[in-house]
Amino acid sequence: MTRALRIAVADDEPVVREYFRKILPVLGHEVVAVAADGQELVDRCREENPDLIIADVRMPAMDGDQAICHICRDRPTPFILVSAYSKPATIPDGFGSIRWVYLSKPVKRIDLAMAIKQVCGRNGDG
Amino acid sequence: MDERDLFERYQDLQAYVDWTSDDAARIQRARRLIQPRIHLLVDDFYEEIEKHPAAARVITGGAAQVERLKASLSAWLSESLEGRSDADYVARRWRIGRKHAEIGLNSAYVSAAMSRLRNGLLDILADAQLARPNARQSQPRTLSGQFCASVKSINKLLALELAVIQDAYEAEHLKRERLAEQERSEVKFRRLIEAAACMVVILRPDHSIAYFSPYSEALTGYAAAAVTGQDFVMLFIPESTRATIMMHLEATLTGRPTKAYEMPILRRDGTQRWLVWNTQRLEDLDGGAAVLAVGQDVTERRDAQERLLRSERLAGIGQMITGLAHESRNALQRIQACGEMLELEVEGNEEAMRFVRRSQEAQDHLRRLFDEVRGYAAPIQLEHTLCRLDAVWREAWNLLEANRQGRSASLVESTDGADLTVSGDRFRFVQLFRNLFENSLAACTDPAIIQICSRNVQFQQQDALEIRFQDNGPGLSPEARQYVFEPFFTTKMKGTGLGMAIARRIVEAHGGEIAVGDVREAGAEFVVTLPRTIR
Repeated sequence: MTRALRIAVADDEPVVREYFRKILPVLGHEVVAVAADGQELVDRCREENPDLIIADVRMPAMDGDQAICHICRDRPTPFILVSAYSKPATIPDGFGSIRWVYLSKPVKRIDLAMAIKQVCGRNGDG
Repeated sequence: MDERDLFERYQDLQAYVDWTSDDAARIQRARRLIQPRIHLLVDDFYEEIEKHPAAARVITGGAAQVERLKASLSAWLSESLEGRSDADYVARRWRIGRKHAEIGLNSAYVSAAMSRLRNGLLDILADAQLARPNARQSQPRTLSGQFCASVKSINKLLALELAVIQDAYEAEHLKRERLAEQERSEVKFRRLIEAAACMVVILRPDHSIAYFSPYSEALTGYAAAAVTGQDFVMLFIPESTRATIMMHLEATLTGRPTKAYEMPILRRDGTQRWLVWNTQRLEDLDGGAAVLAVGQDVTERRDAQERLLRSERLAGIGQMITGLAHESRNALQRIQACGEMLELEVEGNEEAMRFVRRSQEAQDHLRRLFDEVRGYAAPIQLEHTLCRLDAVWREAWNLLEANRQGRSASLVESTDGADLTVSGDRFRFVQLFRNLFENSLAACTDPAIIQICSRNVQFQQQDALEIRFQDNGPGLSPEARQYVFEPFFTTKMKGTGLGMAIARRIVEAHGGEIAVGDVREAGAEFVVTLPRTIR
């Protein structure tokens, strides 16, 4: 069982944002930031310094993977990228030492749970 | 040339050498002198022949034949001295001339022999002349004139005889040469036909087969002897195309050849081969026109084209589906999110929870459909390991446990100790078996029994494993037999109709073959052949 994580989420779909807000606490975590585009995600993460980022790839203003690049330059953070593609088109550079996972939509609760465990592990390292 | 032509020519020759009735009269007078001495001429004639091997070689029958020949020559000489020259006479002399060609005597020797006869005849006349009593010495000129005239007549006679003989000789010789040439040409023709890897048939105007080449025999499975004389159209052309083919044949007979016309023909075993045909009119087959048809087997090329088209179509479908699936994901994500949030809301409300769960199942199904279609169109990349196929199909069977819930279904293995190790992609093999089982389970009513048998076989000169799947369902309709492996073909209400198409793709990616088994009384049979190692 992973310890309670402080998670930042980003998705341009309102329903999906609401979903993360509701489901992640059920899995035992806290949602500390909710963004609707990549730029907002960068700003909110600077404020909150989350343990984990869950972001949609395709978003207005800035894509999720781009946003995470910016964030991790300042402060390496484990992340989960969610996309409509079945596999990564390009793997962002410079993420070598950071743990991350790629999920294909539609993402289920159980997929999230497994991904979080994979990325943040039993010992909660991040 | 007919007898009248021969006689006319002879008369023309007579005019040429200036033959008159006086000559005829002189010959008849000379005959009295010559007749008693003919046997001497004949003996001399054949004595001389024996001295010349080139001439003597035509006499193969020994002394008996020589005796017969002497008698013939004697008769010939006697007859020529009768001074006749009617049409019948000319025809007979002509036949004698032909005989010389038939026995293969060189015509130069005929001329030389004739000259010898001439010398003999003139000697006889001269002897008779010298032996005459010198009664009227006062009239030596007249006697000399008479002698010269007789000599001239003999010369004319022999010239005419020789001309007839040589004429006949030449005619016969030419005829034989033509026949030999025709035979050589026919031999060449047959060799050409036999070497050519295409069907060659010759058809009479009534479509009966006059010639059926050896390659045609091999391709169709019919012996030439069995089909010669039969109607080609009725025997080889599928009913639906007969009218068109007959039109083409008619056109060809009127001199409009057909080029590069693709048309299937039926083999003896009922299968079809596609050939591309050229036809043309033959001027003379037993005195009438005929059709020469040459066809090249293009079945494999057509199959290859079909496969190419299929893969292109697939690529098109794949692209479309990929686009569709991609677009749908966002919508599916929203549905998923709402469904899960709804679940949280209605926790405790059994009825509502039931609806939510069913909605979730439907979504899962939809997602699987997208994955299946995308998987079908995408190129297959294989990872090779050695697989024990019995372990693989048991795993596939277990994966279908959910499908088998509430059903009576059993898997019977009769593998007879065959080696079930095959090199290939284990994941794909599981998929293959799963699709085959699913197909049978969907078709069968309980109790469903699926039987697997396997044996070693040779496939395209490699060691291979043949696996037969038999179920106790209703079997395959003729339509299903033809289309069961086509994508999107399904007789079920559910499903994409891709299961068996994917199965075929997997088998073919491993270099193998999948086919519907022979028609049985009950149930369907599928035969999968997998080479043991992938080349």
